[in-house]
Amino acid sequence: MTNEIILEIKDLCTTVGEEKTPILRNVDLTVGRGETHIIMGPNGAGKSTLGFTVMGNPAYEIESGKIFFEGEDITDLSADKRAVKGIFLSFQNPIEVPGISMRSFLKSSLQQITGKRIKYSEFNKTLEEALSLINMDPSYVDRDVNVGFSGGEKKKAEILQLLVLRPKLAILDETDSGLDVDAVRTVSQGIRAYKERYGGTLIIITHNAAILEALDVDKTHVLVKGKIVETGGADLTDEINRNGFEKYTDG
Amino acid sequence: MTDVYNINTSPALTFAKLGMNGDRISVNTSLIKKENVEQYIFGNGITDTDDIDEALPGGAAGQDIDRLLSTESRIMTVKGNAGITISFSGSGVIRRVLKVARGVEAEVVEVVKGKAPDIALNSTSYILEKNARLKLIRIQMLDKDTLYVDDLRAKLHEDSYLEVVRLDLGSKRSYIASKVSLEGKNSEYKAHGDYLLNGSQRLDINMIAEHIAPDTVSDMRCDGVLLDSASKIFRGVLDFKSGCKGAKGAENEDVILLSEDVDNQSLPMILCGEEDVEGNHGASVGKISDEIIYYLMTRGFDEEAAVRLIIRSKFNNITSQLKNSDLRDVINRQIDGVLS
Ligand SMILES: Nc1ncnc2c1ncn2[C@@H]1O[C@H](COP(=O)(O)OP(=O)(O)O)[C@@H](O)[C@H]1O
Ligand SMILES: [Mg+2]
Repeated sequence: MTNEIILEIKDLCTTVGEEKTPILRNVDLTVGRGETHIIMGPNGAGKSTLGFTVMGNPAYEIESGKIFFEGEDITDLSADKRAVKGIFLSFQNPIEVPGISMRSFLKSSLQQITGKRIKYSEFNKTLEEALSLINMDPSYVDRDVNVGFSGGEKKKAEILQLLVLRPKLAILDETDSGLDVDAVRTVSQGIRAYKERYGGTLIIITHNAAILEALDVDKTHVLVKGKIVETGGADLTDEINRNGFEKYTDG
Repeated sequence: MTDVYNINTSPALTFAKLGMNGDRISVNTSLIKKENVEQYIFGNGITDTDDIDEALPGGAAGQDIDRLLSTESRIMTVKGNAGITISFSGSGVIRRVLKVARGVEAEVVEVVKGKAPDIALNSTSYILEKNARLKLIRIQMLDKDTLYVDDLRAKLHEDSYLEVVRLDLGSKRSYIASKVSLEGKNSEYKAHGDYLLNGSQRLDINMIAEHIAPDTVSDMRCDGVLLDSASKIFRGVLDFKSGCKGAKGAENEDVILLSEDVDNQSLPMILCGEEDVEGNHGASVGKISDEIIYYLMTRGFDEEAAVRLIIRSKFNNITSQLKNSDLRDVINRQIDGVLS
């Protein structure tokens, strides 16, 4: 791959909580623009921590190492500034925001990120397009953000946000879990559209090969106990799906 | 003549802690003038009427405050939707009785504004006849140097339903004294009040649901946000009188504290003169969860904007009930002004 580097993580170590429990240990990761990277690993390995750290979650402390986005050191930037720069995180557990409709939330969010006022007509067009790409009932956007959504609906709503906000880099944290087979297929098509139409770059955290069906994977990384223990191509995803993580966790 | 008046005295004086049992205000009665209060009525849902042939309900502010209510009441009948604006331009007392006629279903939006440094006393009694249904929305946005006493009383006859939605944004010190008497079988009362207090604003709430008849239902909720060195005390009383078999009452609070210097007190009380009743109270007090703030930040909102959005959204569930978009805009601007 000779793609321009969009994200570079160098020797990253993070801790969490007052006891400063170490989670990520010396993680290195380089992602080229337009690439699709897969992160796999057993529960508790630190996959979500990695996503949160790239997205500036203050609950995770960076002890050492650096994160560069488009060549710029973003290690100390707040989450909102990272969003403005073009990073997006689809949450493993999306948060409910009562009292604000998805429609007005997304419109404000798009305005915050682009720094421009957006006309209703223009926004509605973007929103309708996004809804139809993932086969989502338009009534969802008039409901409060994620309030009363099922697990699967929340995940779909994250992809809806991805398709409206069109970031440069999207980290999808187990977006496929909680979705039925058909929904995984639809969401996978949505992710593909993000990549093809908007030139998106992806880091996909997953346990499930089905979501990758519509996508060309460039690299697969295996994260175990906070360390990237192996990096390979698309075939590594298949191998792990067949054999699991035993090879890495034993001994 | 400046006199001291007791206000919002709790029905059961069992609290050793000073100030919890009630408060006191000084009022210079010579400043109270009729021309300092104006009342505008919009729509044709409300008409003046003669007498009321039944006893008026008692209030929650206390007998001392009743002494200030020397002015005559204007008596009106509610037959449909209407709007009322009450505007103070100095010390004033206004007193009204509104009767919602049998079977009528109406929505009344009241806006209280203006300025009265010494006292603005607004006393309203609603009488809901059999099967009447009233939704009362009261928005208080008085000037920040006003002392406000909001005396709301209601008497509910059989099968009637009263919903009170209120939003308190203004004044320096305000007292909400609300007493709803569920006198008719099967009558129901629901209240949802929101407040936003900053600077040194102080709000003292005394809300009483008095269950008299069997199978009556009440549900009082009071939510708000405190900033700076604002203070609030909530006294919520579910008063189950002997004979109100099968009555159910609930009172809940949800308070967000955005500063270390705020003072937040709660005094839920359930008085049981009847055994066969169900009374519940709950409270949640805290700050905005870091999780929600972080989620919004990942969507491009800086921390301040995220807090503003969350608080604004809390008030949305009240402002969204207003059909008048001008009023909605005024309120939103006022909320944004406090939060910026
Ligand atoms: N906010 C947190 N507070 C305390 N411990 C945490 C927190 N977040 C993650 N952890 C711990 O860090 C480890 C890695 O968690 P996580 O990144 O969620 O793993 P994964 O996503 O791979 O399942 C786990 O042991 C988890 O319990
Ligand atoms: Mg996880």
